[in-house]
Amino acid sequence: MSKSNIEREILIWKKSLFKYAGLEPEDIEELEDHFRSKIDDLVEQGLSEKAAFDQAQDEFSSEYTVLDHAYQTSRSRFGVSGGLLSTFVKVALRNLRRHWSYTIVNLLGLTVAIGSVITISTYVIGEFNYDGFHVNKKHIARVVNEYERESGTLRYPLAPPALGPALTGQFPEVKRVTRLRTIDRMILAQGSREFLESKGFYADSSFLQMFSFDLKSAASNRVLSEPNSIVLTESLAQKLFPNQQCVGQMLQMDNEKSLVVTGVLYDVPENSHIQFDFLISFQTYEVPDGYLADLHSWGWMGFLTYVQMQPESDMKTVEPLIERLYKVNNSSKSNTDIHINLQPLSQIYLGSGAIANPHGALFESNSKANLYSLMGIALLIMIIAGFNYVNINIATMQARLKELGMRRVLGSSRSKLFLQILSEAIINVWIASLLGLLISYLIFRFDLLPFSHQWITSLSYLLGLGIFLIGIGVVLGSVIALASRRAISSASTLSLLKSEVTSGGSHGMLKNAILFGQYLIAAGLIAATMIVMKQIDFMNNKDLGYDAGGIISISGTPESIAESYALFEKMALQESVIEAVTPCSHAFAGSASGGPMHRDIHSPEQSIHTAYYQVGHDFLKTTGIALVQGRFFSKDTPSDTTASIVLNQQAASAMGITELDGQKVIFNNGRVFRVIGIVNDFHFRSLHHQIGPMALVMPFTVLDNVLVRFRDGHSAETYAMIERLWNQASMNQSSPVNIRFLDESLATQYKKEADLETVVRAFSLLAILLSCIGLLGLTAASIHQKIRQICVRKIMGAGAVSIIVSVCRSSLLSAIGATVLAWPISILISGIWLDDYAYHYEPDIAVFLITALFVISITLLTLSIQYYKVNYTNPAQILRND
Amino acid sequence: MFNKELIGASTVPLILTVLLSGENYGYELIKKVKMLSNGKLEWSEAMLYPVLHRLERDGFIHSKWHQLENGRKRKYYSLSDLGRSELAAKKSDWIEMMQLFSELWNLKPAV
Repeated sequence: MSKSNIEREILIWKKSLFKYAGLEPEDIEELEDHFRSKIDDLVEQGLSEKAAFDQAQDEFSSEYTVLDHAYQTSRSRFGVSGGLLSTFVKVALRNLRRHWSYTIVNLLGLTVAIGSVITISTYVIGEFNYDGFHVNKKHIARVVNEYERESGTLRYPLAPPALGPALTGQFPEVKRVTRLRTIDRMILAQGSREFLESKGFYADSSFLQMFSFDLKSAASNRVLSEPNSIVLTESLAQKLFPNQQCVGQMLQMDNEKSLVVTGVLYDVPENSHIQFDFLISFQTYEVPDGYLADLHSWGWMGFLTYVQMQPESDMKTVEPLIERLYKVNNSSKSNTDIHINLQPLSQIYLGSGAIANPHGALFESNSKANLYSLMGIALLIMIIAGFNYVNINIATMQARLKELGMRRVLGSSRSKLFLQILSEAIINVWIASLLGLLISYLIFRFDLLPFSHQWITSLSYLLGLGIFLIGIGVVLGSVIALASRRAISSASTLSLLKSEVTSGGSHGMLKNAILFGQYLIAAGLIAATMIVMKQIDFMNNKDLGYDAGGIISISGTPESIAESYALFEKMALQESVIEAVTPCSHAFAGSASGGPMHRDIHSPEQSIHTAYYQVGHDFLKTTGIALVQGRFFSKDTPSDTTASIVLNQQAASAMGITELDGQKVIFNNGRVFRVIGIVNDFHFRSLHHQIGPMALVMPFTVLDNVLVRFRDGHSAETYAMIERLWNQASMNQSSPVNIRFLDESLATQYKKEADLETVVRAFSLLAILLSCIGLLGLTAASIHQKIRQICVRKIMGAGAVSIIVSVCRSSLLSAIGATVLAWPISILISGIWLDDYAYHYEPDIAVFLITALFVISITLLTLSIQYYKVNYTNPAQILRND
Repeated sequence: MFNKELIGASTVPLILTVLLSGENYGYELIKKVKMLSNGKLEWSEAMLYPVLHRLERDGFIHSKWHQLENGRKRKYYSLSDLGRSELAAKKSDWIEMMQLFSELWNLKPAV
């Protein structure tokens, strides 16, 4: 090699020193002279210039980092800028920059974890703060009635219409009462434009005084006090009166009544358990023809009733008084075993799992178990990220031992080293927190997950979050500092400088514990995710007692259905793909009418609350519900329309009906029916609830649903054909109707579960990914630590597989042990969640097997990456450099 | 090879002592100490230079750049007055320590 080549090599070497932030140009000049002197010496000893350069470089290269650290440390210690804290921060930032690849892995893990924690806790806190915007929230409660039955307690959020007005007059503790009557469907017409609307209530005028739904514009303060007045939300107002002032304008309701718009409300906040688009004054409500009760009834459980207490009054003292009032007034009726309770507003959204929700989309609820599951996942993600962080740092500590040893030579005390490591962890956590906040903001901003809440809005939450994150930093930093302190104290400075500290003893145990913990969490999460998915699957595929797959439902107002039904049925049955058509009062989506029923040979005290549908002759043929005993309604028996009833098995057995030989029941306050048949128990409510007693009767009011059974599967053609037939039948004059595939509308009952599945799956995937990164890091670190041993074994002729097995035996054992342990734990925990469902999937061995397969695959994947590394490593190269 | 405590304690007095005989530079200091200790004490540049710079900052030694004949620049260190008195103090400490060991172990003076 020529002289100029050597000079060029030296120049390159010198340039390489400039990347070390701790070295000043003057230091580099000095080192260059040192380097050249060394080369000169070696040449004098007889080496060629090239060999001398190589040897000098070899001897020198391992010292760069140490020198750099040493300079930085000595400058920080003696530097004039800033105090001790800023020194720590400065050195910490330099270290983060120097070990940038580890910094990225560290930050990635922490950012994902902190982002998940912020996202989930924001959602969960939002869920716990449902209805929190009402000024009177502490004093509002909903009236709930309870039926004690042998199979359990049935609870409904309903009260008779006479209860509300009686409460305000009789109890000074009660400040306000408001009643709501739901509206199934209603046509609101503005001029010639008609809209089918279903999210509305008839509401007492006190409703807007009790609840804080704010008026945007109004004709007066008492917007619901006059008959025939309606209040719209902003969105509906915009839909009905685009770009117009609508207060004072008229709307046609069901082509019968004129309503005057008296006010416009801001849209109902998403975190309200009551959801609506319009409110009609309660005085407008008329009891439909065919009902055997009026608004003075104490037996008609058909009205949502909310009570606002005086600020100083206690709900618990009034509750028994209300029940007594009810019982006194209802003494002539049959339902003596009904209890009346008050459910505080704060408990409605998350505490209504056991309460039937007969009104579907108008009322929202969620279960605490769902929220706790999510919090658990967030916590696990944080733990995994913490494990990874500690792992990676302990592994890289090996590389930093030289630096730490040098700093001890230079007089750094243990506590300062401790503080240095701590400040690095805190800085890491801070950076990750900022990124995590950004990620969670983006998730909420762009609706990337089915969370309907606002992002962080409360300052106290942000403060709590800040404290939590600082805590995380301190905990992580302390663990690493303690682990590395042991390593530092137990080794001599010289061995530190030579990086000879081996991990063993407590450090090895810590590593194994972390490995096991990581496998346990990954396995547990995989099992939990599978159980949630299986439950959703179970709900979607459970035999509901009827066949929802081939049914289209048409719903409208009673008038619009009544006008066109007969012709539609006739035309539809001529089509080959349509098998059967029936009118009915409800379409399985959770809602049903209900009333007390008892056998004629029993006393009214033995009544049971029975849900009922009014249906047509072809109801069974259309829905596929099985007849177990007797017969169904027949066109050949005209008396069926008024005097026959069909029960489900539960109703029959509750009343002790086993044979059908002329048994009679008294239903709905005095009407006598002959039981002609018994049908299979079918799920007319969601699977959260028990089926309960159920009856089918022929229509006594005008029905507003039509079910159509078709032969082929879901197709746009079938849908279009039915829509066309309906339009023809109504001569295109008809008011708007909703046409939907029944199974699709049923799936909306499980929206919360489907959302939960999306969220659980997303976060479990994250957790599993983080676990994999951690496992990869752990095995990589253990291979790195044993690299000399591996190389010697390779030279002695050992194969890569046997090396991997020997190095990663603990990984494999941990994987197997953790999977076995994760199974019972996840079944135990998911059992709590599954208990929320009256009908649920039973976790089985398949979950365990699939989890085991998954975890072992992850382990094998990790090991195969390491196998590749070991196999393609030249042992001579490593041993020479070492 | 000496243990870490001994190396740590002896580095500064050794550097000051070598500089007592005249100004010197890093590479030569390492070589000299290695030779005098028969190879038992082999400082690395990573350890030496930070200590030299610290001694300079503390005022025990001065440094000066020299231009060599071949054009290279070299940084030489020399003892300051403060360094001399520091060395004197350290020297008496070490002599007392040696005497203590000599007495305890009944050693005869080497010379």
